[in-house]
Amino acid sequence: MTAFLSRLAARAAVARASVAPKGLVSRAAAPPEGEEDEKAARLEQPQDEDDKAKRLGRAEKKDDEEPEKAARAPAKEDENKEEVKSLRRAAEKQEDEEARREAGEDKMEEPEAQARRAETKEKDEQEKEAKPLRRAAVPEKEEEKDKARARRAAAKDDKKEEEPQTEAQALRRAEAVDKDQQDKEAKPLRRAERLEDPDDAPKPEETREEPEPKLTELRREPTFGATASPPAPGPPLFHDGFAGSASVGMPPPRAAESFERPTVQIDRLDVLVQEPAASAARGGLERSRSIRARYLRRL
Amino acid sequence: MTRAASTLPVDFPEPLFRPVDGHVEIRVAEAVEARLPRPRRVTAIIAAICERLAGQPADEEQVRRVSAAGREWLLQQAGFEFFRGSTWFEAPCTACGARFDLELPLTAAPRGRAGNGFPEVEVCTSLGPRWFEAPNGHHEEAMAARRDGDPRRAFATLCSLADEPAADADRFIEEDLERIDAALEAISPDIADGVDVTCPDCGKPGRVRIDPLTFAFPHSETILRDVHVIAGAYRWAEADILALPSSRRRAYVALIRGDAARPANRATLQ
Repeated sequence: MTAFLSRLAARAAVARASVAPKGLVSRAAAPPEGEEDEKAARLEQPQDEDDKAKRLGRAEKKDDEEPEKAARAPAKEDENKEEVKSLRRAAEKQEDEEARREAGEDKMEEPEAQARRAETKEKDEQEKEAKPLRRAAVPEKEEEKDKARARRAAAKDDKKEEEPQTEAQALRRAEAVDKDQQDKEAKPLRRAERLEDPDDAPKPEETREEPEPKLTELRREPTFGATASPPAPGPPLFHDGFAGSASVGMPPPRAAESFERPTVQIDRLDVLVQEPAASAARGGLERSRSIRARYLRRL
Repeated sequence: MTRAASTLPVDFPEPLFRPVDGHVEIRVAEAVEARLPRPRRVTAIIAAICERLAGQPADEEQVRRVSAAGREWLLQQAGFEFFRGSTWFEAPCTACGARFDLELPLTAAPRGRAGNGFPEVEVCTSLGPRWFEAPNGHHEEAMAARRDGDPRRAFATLCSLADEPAADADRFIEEDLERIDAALEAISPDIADGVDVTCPDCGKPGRVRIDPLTFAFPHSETILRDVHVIAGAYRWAEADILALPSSRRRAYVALIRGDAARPANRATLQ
């Protein structure tokens, strides 16, 4: 049992563990004056201390986080405001500079434009003077042109006789070229067709080493002997192998169809579902990821 | 004995509480939330809520004169003026930190009456017979300002009625301090301010404090919010709103909030 006076002294201090009404948040005991002074001193620390020191300070002041947070919040707001201001100033400066540049270019352009205008005027004047001289020179040129036309007409007549042979050759060449082109275009399509076939598709890494199952193993022999003939009047009695795919409302299979349809369809379905389903799921995942990423970027 | 004892000669002075209105509530709340040592806050709270103590006007000086146990009892009684919760409390285990429930009828907290000769007692020390008084609010406040040293020696200095208490306290031997401690305990009243518990999780025994300051008194924010709501609705002055009895103020606030919550009023407001 502690001494009476020690207990009295302890009563003056903040309790380590005290009762609180059930379901109510108890009021945090106010710290004594000394601690208050320490907190005030911490809050008055200069803001330009480097990040390391800040982190260390935070680690030490875990208990005093809330009042500090409250003190930091306005400081952060001030920082943000300053940043926004500086950004605005920078943007304004850029705009001013651009405006100045444009104005300067305009000023610089004016004499150049004047010079160009002067040049075009001179050219126009020169052309006006040269036009009558050119008209005078034209009759001589026309005579030469007539002679050239006569020569070309004579050459054309000669060529007309040779044309059927050359045309046929050209057509054959064109046909050959078309065929080659068609073959080239068809090749990747054929490859794609082959790849679409599940048997030809590349296997996933997990099943690559496994031996390929034989077709006979996949194609289960149907055993509908009991249900196929005669058709059952009551509820359908499927073989155990098909029990999972049978629904309550499904009609009983006919005897004539029962030998081919179920075997082929289900085996093909099994194979088809294996490969593309996985890739589709993967594609869906990627799509959803990209959508989420876009959404987060927007936020 | 060269000076008279300052401790009030009544161990548990019967209080006459003020009618609880906004002014009292805000004074109490501000005292609770003040960043001061606990004994100073206790003095301010009791002075705010008590009109009279043992028939005398209850100012801060009068409250300081009450014995340590009497002050703690007055604080608990003041807490009951505001706290009308159930008797179920929860507490953390000092060993494992697990929280557990316990039923505490605080109104029936045990208290021990003062001994014969209260508030003064004579102790035979190695320096000769010395007179001491039972610790009171003055001593508690002075003690809270000290941070180190043996609390018994500190109290021996503070409670001594000798000519040179500090010099005496320095020369007291360990046996003197034990005798002084035992003598002061014998004459002083006592009040239960904690509970001995056994943690249901780890099974270790521990002690949890009953501190009304942490749960019994109103928050200034709540009172100011009430004032804000009423002032906004009726355009009354702050002093007038605080002068309302607390129950009536809360009723007005409930009416205002109820009106605001009705869809018809919302529509007219919009």
